[in-house]
Amino acid sequence: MRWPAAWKDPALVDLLQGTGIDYLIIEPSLDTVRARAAEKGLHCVSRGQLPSGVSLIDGQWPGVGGGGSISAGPTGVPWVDSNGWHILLSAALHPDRAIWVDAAPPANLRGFPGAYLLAVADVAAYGARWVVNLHSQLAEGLAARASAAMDLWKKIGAATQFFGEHRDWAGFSPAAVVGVISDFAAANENFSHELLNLLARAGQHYRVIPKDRVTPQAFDALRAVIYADAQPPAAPLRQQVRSFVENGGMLIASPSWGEAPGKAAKPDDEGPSFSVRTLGKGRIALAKQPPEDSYQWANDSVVLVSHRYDMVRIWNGGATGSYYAISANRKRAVVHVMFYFGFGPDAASVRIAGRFRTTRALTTDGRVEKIETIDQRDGIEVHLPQIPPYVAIELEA
Amino acid sequence: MPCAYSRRKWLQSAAAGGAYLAGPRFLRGADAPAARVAVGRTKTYAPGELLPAMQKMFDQLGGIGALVKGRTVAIKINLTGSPTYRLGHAPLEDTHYTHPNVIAAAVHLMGAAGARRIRVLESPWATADPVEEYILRANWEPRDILNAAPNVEFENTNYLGRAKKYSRMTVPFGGYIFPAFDLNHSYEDCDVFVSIAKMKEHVTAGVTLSMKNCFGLTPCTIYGTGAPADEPSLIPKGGRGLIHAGDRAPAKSAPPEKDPKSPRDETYRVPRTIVDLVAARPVHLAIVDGIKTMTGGEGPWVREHQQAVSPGLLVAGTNPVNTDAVTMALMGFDPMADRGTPPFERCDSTLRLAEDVGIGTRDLKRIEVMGAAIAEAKFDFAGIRQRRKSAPVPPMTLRG
Repeated sequence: MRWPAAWKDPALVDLLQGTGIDYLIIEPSLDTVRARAAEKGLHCVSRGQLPSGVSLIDGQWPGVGGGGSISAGPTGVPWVDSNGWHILLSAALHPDRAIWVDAAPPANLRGFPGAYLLAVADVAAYGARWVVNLHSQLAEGLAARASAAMDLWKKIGAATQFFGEHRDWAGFSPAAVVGVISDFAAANENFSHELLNLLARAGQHYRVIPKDRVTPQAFDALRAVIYADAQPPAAPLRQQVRSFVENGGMLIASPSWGEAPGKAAKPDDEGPSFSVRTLGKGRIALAKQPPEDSYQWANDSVVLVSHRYDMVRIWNGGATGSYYAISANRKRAVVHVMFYFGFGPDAASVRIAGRFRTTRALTTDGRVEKIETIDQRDGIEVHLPQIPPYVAIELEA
Repeated sequence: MPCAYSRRKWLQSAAAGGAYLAGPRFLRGADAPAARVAVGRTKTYAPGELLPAMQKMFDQLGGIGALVKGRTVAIKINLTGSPTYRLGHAPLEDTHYTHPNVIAAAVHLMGAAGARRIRVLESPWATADPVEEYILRANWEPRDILNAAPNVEFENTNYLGRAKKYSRMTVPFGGYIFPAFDLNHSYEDCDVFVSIAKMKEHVTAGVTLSMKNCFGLTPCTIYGTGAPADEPSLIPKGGRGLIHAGDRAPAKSAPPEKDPKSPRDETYRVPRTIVDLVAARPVHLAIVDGIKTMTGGEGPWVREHQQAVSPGLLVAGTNPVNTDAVTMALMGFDPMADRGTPPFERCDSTLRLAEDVGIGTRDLKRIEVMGAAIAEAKFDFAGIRQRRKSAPVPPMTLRG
């Protein structure tokens, strides 16, 4: 937690009892607070001296239009800010490091409890930790022990504790349909980062594949890989991808990929933005123009791969995000669903690809009792009652 | 292949339409065409129940072999709104989308009757994605429809699609709002045009049946809120707000409105534009899916008390006005109603406007109803509507 600047009273440390908060990012000058925190078993650090093995991401306050005003995206779909893509990228680039996300509430934050719940869940769902950061109004309310502020604080504490109790989920691997291959840096940084962000907004589940470490397992269970870097791939990567395509995968690539082998697909497969070729059992979709519009790329790629392979479909969710993670032995899975308007819908349905024996829905307040699960072709559909803006659907095969 | 057969036939009747327009309205309505309408009752969408019911209805209409054999059939289905909207947890096809089994049954029977090619058409909300991809998002399996007969394909008609240019479709009687439309080629490149609609009320047009289904013929690359001023956009953005509100013109490449000074009220414009479209692209076979549907509007986004209902009805006819008139009666509404009377409390009647220009009669006395009798099969949308209208408006909920 980032200790609020206005909190000088060491007794406020007691508020943290029973929450999942175990570190304080706090000014060195607040000696008495630090001492009280140490008594309570909390670790005190400064932003410049984080524990070893921790990467701190400058994140965004999650929600529609940044949690303040509502704005529209390129096609009228509400613009959603989320930290999920950034966490997945950071985890792929630095797999041995824990990730903390520092995202401050906007000054014009409305008082939805759901906004803070989302701030916790949007980060914790992806296996990282939100540095709890309170709006000045909430910090003042808590210092005065105002009842509304205390109620909200309990919810934030319960949310952090909830994810603390489910740390095993953080060890699960992302279920993915596509892999995004890039160096995610320099000239490719802007496009690749925004592509990851907008793929998530398009409902696609992806795996981040750093270009310099494409292992033989990197493409396991994927339907497609996306290569949008400005430079052509090195020969070994080209060969790995070719082999993936010949065995039934799909490559979606920018013109920088260079000449694509195989033969032209049937005319109906020719889209306005991509030429499609077949190679072995798979296909290559080569963009006709260098990538400029990451929104269009993200959405085109979903259709090129096909919604048939959607990992998660959500109805009546408004602006949603989901993250699907599977245990190493593939017996357990969890689908985290975020409703970015900051309040949950009254009747959402979630379709999850895969076969499962048991299903339960959890919120940070406890178990959702009234859920209905329907078996479908290659998946299940879960019907949820009115819920908060975050729900975890836990599955066992 | 241009649909010379249907256009010629239609132009012949349109010549008579000129006489209609010269005469008083009651005389025009009195002479508007009347054809049989078949009413089927089926409780479920199970193919074993649905297929024989639809076959029987087609037989009652005189068979579809003469209509479709050796011809290209275009079927406009109704997938209104985003596939992410549901009424509660109900599948979209049980409330506001034409059920895929109804589409598949119609496709199958047309294939069996000798249709040469069948194109299933829709202009899905704000996208140029293939219809197959759109319906996968609704949790449908496109192959269920594609494999129902030989030579079946989907086309998204919300943009240019597979053609090199849009087809200019003229309104033979001159049009209420538009004299002609620029549409996806599929609406011209067919010999037979079928509208498969859902039995629903509509917040702007009173009801949405086989004629209102044709509102979606218009590509949003030209008639959408995101259409450029001059030329069509490559992909559609937004809905058909400009037809509703008349706050801007379609892309200039398409024929403009006849009278930019006409009322800008959607309850005036939408019913008239529907009639213009149905005149420009005549409907040869109208089918209305009322087996399962919803009350309270055309989709879950409408802020009314809505409920999923199971009228167990299927309606088909070769004239869309006749078919919609019988369907309205089955819904408990008077098809002779006009503005001020349910379900047209605040809008003009599309049926009356269509009758006025000679597309078909809405007078039940002149329509031969086959199959179930209206009085026995009626499902009382009108009564539910009356009770709903006397209740407070429900609070906004989160959908989509």
